[in-house]
Amino acid sequence: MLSIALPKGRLLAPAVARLRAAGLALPDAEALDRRLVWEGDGWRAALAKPADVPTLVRYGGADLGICGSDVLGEDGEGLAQPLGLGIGICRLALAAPKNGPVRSPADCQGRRVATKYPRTARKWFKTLDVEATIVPMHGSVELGPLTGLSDAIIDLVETGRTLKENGLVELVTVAPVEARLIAGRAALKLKQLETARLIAALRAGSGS
Amino acid sequence: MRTITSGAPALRSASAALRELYISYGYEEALTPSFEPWDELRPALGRHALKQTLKFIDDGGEVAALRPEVTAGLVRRALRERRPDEIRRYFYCQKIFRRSPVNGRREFWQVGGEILGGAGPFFDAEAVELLGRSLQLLGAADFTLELGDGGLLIELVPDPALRGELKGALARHDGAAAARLAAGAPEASRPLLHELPFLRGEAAVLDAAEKLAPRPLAALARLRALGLALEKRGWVEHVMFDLALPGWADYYDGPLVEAYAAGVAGVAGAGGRYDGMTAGLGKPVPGCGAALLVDPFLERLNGKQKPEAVLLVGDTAGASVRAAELRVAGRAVVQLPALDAKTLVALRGQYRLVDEGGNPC
Repeated sequence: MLSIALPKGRLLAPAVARLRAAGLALPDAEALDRRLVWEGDGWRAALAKPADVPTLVRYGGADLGICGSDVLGEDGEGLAQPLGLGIGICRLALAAPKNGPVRSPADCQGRRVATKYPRTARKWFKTLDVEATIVPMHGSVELGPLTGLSDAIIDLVETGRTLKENGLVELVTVAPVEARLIAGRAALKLKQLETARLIAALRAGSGS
Repeated sequence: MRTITSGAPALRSASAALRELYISYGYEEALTPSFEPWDELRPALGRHALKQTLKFIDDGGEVAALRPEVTAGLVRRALRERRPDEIRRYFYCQKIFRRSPVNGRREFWQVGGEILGGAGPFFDAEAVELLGRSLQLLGAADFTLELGDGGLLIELVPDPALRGELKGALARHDGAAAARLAAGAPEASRPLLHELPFLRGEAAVLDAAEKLAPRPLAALARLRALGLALEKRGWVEHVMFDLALPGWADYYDGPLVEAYAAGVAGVAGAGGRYDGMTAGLGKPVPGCGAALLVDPFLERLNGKQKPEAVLLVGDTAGASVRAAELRVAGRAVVQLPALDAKTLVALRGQYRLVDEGGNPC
């Protein structure tokens, strides 16, 4: 039995499509979303918030999982990440109000930057030798500049529409984002055949 | 339900069994302090321990570290005690204070052994065997002992920064990133580096690696010798080679082992050879060891623990004498005065009841 943690939300449909194409007989995403746990012939799927997928895999709640590299940047330690899936492609970007003081990463020196990705943001600013104050948030990060809480944000950007609607301009990409297959190290060792088969099928499907 | 007493009987029986195991191999039990001087401990720590150590300022203004692992502290002390040319074997059963790689808890029990003064595959195999025997003693049937070598990447990638990145990619099983990074390694090393993530299996993977290697590699020779030494000890079934094994701690620069067991999500146990660490501590003595994380197995054993004490009801002199006799005979006795029927019924589930004469009632 191979168990897999799937992320609810925007990644669910493409993730299910990739797994179905790799031979896992999952229901389609719409049906799947109605229950937390599904079981089929040789597999079990658990639906979780994207941020909980690494936890489920790390502590053995699931052998495998699918989540974005943005989530793994915050909480990916100790997990095997054998494959990029070519879905959920977007980017983590630095953005700021159109006419505000921040025009580049260097302008963040001594300023506040709101983000749902504090660990990634700290690491990125450190590589640039910029000392910014990171303001961790959980929901709509755009509220940071809109309320005066922060001078800039680091957030996921796909089309840039949300930024535009809130008067923000994308300045620079912090990291490219892609959904990845993750695995518990013990699962890779003790269920080598099943995991290797699925990884090979997914790899064949993505051409990577 | 997890209670303050539910883990204790399982821990007691597991640690007793593991102590017996190590003693039967001639190991001496070592106890290291809970608090270690940070400046002395730090140079020898592995990467996980280094990041997660809890530090305190003591009353002398010095930084004290709450034991984040045993090996570094034990080896540092043992090197002072050891006479030249002596081979010393130590074991320990101690609490470690950092995030458990298995369940994320902040403290966990570890039982392990260290051999100081023993060079070569015979001693490496002993450490691996003890890890395997420990798993069996705690009831693990479906487990694997994965063998790698911490020196392999050192031989293939001279640049330490690139080596570190490559090690990270291999630890994540990220073949694409590993292949990208391998492009920066010496050309002769690249064929083997490209294949490393896929070289897991029985001794045939060593043949494959040797064909791809730029020259005869000491790491591959060490692994082959370790495999043979384990075979002599009867360890074939659970043993696998994994040439991309990253190692639990950075100080492993020779053969290393990681244990995985069904029902345990992360590494259940690990170890390896750390000759470079002892050299770094000023005494170049060959050293190796391995340790098992006990807690994941305790959780499984907890449900199997049965009440051990008998309940002797009565507060007469005769009852006290009988209780004393039973205790001398090796029984645990809980003595209570006369009880009402309702309390007795409740206690029946907890203890085996005997009367003043010691007979079941």
